[in-house]
Amino acid sequence: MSTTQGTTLAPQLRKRRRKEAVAAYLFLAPWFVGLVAITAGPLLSSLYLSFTDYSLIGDSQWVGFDNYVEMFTDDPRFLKALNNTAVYVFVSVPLQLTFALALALVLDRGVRGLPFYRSIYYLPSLLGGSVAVAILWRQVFGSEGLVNEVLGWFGVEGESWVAHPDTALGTLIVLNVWTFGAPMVIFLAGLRQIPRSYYEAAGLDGAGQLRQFFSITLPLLTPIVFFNLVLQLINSFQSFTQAFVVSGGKGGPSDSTLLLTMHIYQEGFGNFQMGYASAMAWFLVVVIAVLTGVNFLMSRYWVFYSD
Amino acid sequence: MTSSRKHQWTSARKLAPALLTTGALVLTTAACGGGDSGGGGDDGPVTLRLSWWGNDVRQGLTAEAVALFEESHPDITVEQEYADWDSYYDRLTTQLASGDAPDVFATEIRRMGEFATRGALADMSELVETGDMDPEILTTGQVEGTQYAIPTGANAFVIMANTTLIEEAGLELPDDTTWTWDDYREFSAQVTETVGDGTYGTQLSWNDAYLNIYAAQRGESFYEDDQIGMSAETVADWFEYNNGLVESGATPDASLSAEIGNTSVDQSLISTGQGAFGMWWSNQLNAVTTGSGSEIEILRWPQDSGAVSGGQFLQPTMYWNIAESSGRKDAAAELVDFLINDPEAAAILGSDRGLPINGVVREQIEAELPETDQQSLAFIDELSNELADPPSVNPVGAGEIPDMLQRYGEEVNFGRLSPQEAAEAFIDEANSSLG
Repeated sequence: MSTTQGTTLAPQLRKRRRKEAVAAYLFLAPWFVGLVAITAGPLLSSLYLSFTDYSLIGDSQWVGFDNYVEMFTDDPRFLKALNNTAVYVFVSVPLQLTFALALALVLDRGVRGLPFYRSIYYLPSLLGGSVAVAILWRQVFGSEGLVNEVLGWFGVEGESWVAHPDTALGTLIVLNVWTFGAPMVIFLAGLRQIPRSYYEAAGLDGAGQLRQFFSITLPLLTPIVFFNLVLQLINSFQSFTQAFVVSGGKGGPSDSTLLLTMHIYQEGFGNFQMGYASAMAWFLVVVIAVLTGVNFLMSRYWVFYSD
Repeated sequence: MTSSRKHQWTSARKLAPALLTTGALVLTTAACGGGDSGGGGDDGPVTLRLSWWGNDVRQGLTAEAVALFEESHPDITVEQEYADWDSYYDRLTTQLASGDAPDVFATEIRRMGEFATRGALADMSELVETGDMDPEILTTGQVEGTQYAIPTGANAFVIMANTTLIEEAGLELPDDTTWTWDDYREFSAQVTETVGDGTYGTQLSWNDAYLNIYAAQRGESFYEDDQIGMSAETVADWFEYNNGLVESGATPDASLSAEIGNTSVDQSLISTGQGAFGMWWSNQLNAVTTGSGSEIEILRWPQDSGAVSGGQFLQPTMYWNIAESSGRKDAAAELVDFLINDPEAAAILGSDRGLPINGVVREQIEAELPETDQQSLAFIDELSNELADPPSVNPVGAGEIPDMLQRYGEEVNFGRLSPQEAAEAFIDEANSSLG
């Protein structure tokens, strides 16, 4: 729009435009300063540090790619953490999106008191990353927690879910799935965009509910699915608080809840290996970037933009 | 219209001083960030920052002692910063890294060497009067011959027994001068069985001090030349022994043990009256006694026949350190000196940071100490000729050892590694991160 108008603008108008632009930049300035000083600065210095043996206190030396090599050759816990993170992300994200979509579909059918339900289901998304909920999780899935209490009614005696290496990661996955509110709200907004007339027409042609879902709802919703997928993948890779609190800051039992973010934290602040921790953090950045890139490439084949 | 313009004018006039104050604040903060909170001079009023970890009880005692210090040193103001044990070092290292270290702070034996070698600590030998201190304990504050730290007090890692609970169960406490490791396990299992209902004989401990004692009984030392000094066999036996505690029912099952493995002393089984035994530091006797509301007795460690010693040792509970970056080391040293050498301060602090190591002070206040402190003193005196030498400062990286022991110990308890495999893997991993 601006390109077509730019050439024909009256000088007075152009002057006002410029003034507005200056004002805009002034208003944006605090944000830019913040970006450079608080985000970009530390980001770049951590990239530099990842090539050093920086230990938080004292001097550091340039070590080239040593840190990046060490991850794969000399740190079995890193590989374990990578594996845990992969399981955590690739199990919880699809489940979470499925739940979100299913609930959005139910709510979209015009439930009475929709705003109330929407808020209720959205609540976990606001709370899920908090320390309080993680502590609650410890109680619910602890040896004398709610889950075992309920199992007890059926004569099943459960062990501590958060403290057994076979189930501990599972409880974290459930916690992540439980925060399906945010993608649900976005799905709900997407569903509202689909013209009702499509369904009426399909109904007249004799398409059943299932058919309508797969032929109308899902294809028209793919941009939203894609958006949620990218967002949740990135978020889940960065999960930290839940694992940290549920395992008491250790990633146990026997490293079963050691996510990559937690290993980074432990190496950096526990072991003073800040250079090495930076290298792992950058590896995580690359993994997320590559996956997001692949996602975008793949999206050509399954995301349908109607306009 | 006029009123609104007037309003704007006044608000602008108000704004100017506000801006000036902000500017001044920024400047002061910048000065503090530089690390010379006192302005660099040797005289004049100064504000010191004192940082440590601990619970509410310690907070109360320390505040009382610091108030007394401020009274007798009107030029010095002390600002206290305290944190939970879990987050303490994270904060301290971040402050050190950003050049914003507190003037005086606490460390302990596993990490102090690391801070000293990285140049974060001031040499305290000329700063604090150490003449009356127990020379053996004092040496533990040295790294390569330099006194980088002053021990806050002496501590022993001990077995505590809830004798009330044991008596009420109708059991008789074994004689601790003759009991073996098997006796400890069997008796604990018996407590679990007799009392039941969520009460257990004991609780797993992954404290490196426990393994230290276990190894010392076999004549092995935990560290040698900045590496693990113990044989794989000893470590494997220790893992196996702990696993035996779980299997025999002496402790909760593997997953419940893992769940409570991270709790602090206040939430431990013995402190909540749900355990007959517990392995804790002697300065925690007060917390355990208060928590359980029962009679708690300190016992000798079990020994197998052929043990070369009981393994019991004293070590500094914590250290007081002065930051190398502190602008007022003289004032900081006065504070440390007061906390350690002043009889009034010692009487307030009691054994919260360990039993006083200043012999003169200790004699003066002994009669005034709380009952639990006198109990620990009596125990240590009784053992005085059996005690092993205090350990030297741990090698760099030792701070991660307890977590590592817990990790491999749990692998054994969950049947994922054999004790032998776990011991070898532990030694490998520990050696590569130490030194």
